[in-house]
Amino acid sequence: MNHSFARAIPVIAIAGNPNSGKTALFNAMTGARQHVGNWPGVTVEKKEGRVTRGGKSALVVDLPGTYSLGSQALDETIARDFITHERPDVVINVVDSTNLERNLYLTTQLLDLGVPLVLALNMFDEVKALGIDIDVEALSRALRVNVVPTVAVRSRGIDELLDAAFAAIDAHTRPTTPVTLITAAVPDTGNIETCDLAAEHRYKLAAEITQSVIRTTTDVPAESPSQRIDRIALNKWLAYPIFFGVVWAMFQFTFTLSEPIALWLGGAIGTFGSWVSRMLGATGAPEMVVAFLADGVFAGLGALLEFAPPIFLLFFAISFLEDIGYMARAALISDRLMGAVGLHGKAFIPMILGFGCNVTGILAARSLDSRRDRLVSILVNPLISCSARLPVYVLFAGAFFAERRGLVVFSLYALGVVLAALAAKVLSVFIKPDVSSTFVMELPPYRMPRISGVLLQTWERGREFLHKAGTVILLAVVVVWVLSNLPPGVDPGSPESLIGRIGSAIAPLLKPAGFGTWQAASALVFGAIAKELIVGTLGVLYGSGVGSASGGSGLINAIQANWTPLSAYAFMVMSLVYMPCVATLAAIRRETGSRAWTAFAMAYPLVLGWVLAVIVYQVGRLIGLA
Amino acid sequence: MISNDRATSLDELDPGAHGTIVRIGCPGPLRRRLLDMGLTPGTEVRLEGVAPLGDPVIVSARGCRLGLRRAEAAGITVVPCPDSLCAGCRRGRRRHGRQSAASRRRLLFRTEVS
Repeated sequence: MNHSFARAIPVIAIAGNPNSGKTALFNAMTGARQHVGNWPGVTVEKKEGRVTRGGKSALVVDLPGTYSLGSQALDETIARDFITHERPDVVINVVDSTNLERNLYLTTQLLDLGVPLVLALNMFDEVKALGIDIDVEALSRALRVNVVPTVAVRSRGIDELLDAAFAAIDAHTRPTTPVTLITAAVPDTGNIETCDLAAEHRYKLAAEITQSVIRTTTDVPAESPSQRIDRIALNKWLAYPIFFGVVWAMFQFTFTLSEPIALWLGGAIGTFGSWVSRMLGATGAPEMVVAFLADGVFAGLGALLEFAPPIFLLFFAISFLEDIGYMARAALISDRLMGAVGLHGKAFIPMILGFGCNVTGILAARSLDSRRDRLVSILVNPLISCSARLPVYVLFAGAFFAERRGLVVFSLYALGVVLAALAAKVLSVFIKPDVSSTFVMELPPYRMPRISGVLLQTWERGREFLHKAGTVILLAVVVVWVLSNLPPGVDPGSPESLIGRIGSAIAPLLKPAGFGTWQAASALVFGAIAKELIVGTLGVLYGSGVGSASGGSGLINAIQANWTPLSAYAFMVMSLVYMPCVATLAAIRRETGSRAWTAFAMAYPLVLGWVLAVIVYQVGRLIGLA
Repeated sequence: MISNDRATSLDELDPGAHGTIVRIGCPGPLRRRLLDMGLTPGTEVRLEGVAPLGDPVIVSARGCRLGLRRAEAAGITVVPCPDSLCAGCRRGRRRHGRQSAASRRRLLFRTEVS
């Protein structure tokens, strides 16, 4: 066969259905020598790794999991284009042995593409446990390709598979099969009739081959273990309690467990920062430089490291639930709820996670297949009130609504949910749905994943995110430090500093909303870095000296003296809506891959927040609440 | 040849009942997707159950289980299994326990006409 260009090392592509154990096989082949990136221009994960066997090495590319290669859906287009344009030296087709008929459908398409093929008969141990016998030799003869039984999660059959792959690379042979001859007459493209004919033909062939190679040795039980579990997990009365239990556990795992780690990391960085500045101070470095390092760079590093634990834990939880098979069930039972705002069932988990941290919510939106649904979920997620906004509510509600504190805080959470739902509804009207926005989803059998595989996935995804988003977060913190310390000689964050002047400039704009002071404006500017900073900034600016998140009694007195209950509520509404924090914007930029949408995600909450705060304040005044 | 006079849509099947697909009436990408997932004419399909809020539905075909929205399943025409005493249907009924009086009546009616 012709290679379009000379390659330094051969390329092995892995193709297969979702849930066929493709990723586990890729991990077993490459071990830790892998790299997670994106396919050019899209946010579909691309995994690459190296394998060496018997002195030969090759690049392994994990193609997106697909049921077919014929449609215009993004995943299928990527996989098809890679095979037809990049011409890998061999394609390993991972097949779920327990579901041979459906998996062989893709195999017939791969055979028609004319690439050298090796079949990995994965989960071979499960088939045996089911009392089913697959005649590997007969399957190999029928397809005219090498067939290797594997158990990817136990790394069994990997060496044999690699031998077969390298043999196929050396042989440079194009497989000739009866499949090609039959389906050449019925192309996949064209009108509905030929499409149907091709699909029917392929399935007929897949069924025939399956029938001829499978022998059942014992009675197949009427109900599979997964069906039995689903009778409970998808039960009319139990499905939602179980679902919320799982979400709650995921929440606890991600945020409760990460808190002490984040605190410890923050403390460690702080200690290290002050040690560095002491050492620099001793060497007589300019005070400005020392302060820049300690309060700018190290503070930024601290902010970044505080995000790391929840992100890694979240990725772990998601990978685990995905691998076990529960995510498909979660999407199934929430599809009706999310459908009300024009979204897919899979959009529910990202929404819930937004209550913890919008960054995690936005990252979780990766599981959505449709570009439109993913975009809408990402754009509305910042409206969900994340945990960093709670200190603002606690401070103001505590200062003005002592006995109705709980109700006030709840009203803000509810407002966030309502706004997110409305925004999703509006956005899904304006953003054109793409081809893949159907529900049709496989309910894979429940399977116990191998923890090492989940850990590897977590590490690769988390590292990639921190690498890309970290730069933005660090840069933003440094910029704010510079703004609050210039011109030289001012008190940091005072009215004379650049940030103070910016605050004073913005303040008149905020007057209609009832909080047109430079302190409030500066606090909001800092809050754009991280919402936690709103309370801390107010603490510093009102000179209470207590910049802690809980707010000292001095701060509460200052707030009570300078604000009214109405302006306080308007300010809380503004804090909820006005702008995603820098880390969230970095995540949006990263996940949408679009500057325009990131700018939109920044601008629309700003306008919406201001309008709502003004409405709250002005309507409140009209009905005499001031 | 399968007679089409008792044909109904997939979402109209009783939970647990099965039938044979005769036509995929959905347009465009959905049609493509359903065919790719193995829901081709001639395939035996079972309506396994329904999600807690009544939508989507769970169907099984070719040994795998799929979630489909009712609207998506409505475009799939099936001929229900003619034999109400067939092993597959009985198994399905046992699995799903109670049935509404209406669906029992429907089942009875079907038995009579066949």
